[in-house]
Amino acid sequence: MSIKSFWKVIPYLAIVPGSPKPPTIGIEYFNLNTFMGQTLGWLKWPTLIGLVFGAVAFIVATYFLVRYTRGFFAGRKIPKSWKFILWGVFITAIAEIGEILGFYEWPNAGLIETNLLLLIPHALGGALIGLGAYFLYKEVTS
Amino acid sequence: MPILEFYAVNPLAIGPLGMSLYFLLMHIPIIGGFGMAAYYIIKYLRKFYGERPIPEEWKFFWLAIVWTTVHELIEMPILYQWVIGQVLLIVFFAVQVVASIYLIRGTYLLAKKYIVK
Repeated sequence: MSIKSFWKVIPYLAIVPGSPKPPTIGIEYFNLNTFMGQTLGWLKWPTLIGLVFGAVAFIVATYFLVRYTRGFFAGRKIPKSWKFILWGVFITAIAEIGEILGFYEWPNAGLIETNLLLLIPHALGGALIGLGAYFLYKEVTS
Repeated sequence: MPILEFYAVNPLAIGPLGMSLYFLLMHIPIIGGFGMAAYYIIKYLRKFYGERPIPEEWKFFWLAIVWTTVHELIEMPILYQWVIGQVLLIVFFAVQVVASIYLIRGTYLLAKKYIVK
């Protein structure tokens, strides 16, 4: 099947393509009964619990990491590695919240949620944690 | 929702080319960042602790990063709808719960060991 004919067939498959004109904010399309446009059925509550737990875990982890760095370094300068990891975990918490919105708003996920709450924080959080871990390793090797 | 279905959706054709490319490129730091963290944290721990056993809090923290990397990897077939179905959602749920438990446990033990005494 050619790519062109595949895209003609897509509306008849289970795939729910994103809206060609996504709204600026899509909160009015937020629906707990659907995930990526698919009806959840019995998976409604497990899916919600999993997603909320994921976001809460990063918020709680941020709190514990702040306590850890403050206590461990006790007045000394917190190294770049831990600053990066801490900010990365905090920013990922924002991305996990954006993820909830994006998944439940699909196919009308808002541009603000998709970009400012999901993609950009996710990429930034991932990059910061990755770099933080790299600096942590460099601190013991250099 | 189907039990499990697979689709060969072109990631560069989910919208206008620029937007599709932006979406795809953003996944490099997302997955790469967490993968890089998992790699360097274990390298750091092996170097720092050497022959000594790695403490429990660090093991949990490293496992949290590993499972979060898996979680981010699963998000790609969900977002691009390469895989659709209840099985994928159950796996996604399980991975997310395991990653979250490890993350809370690891960071709690780190904080507890050095602060809460």
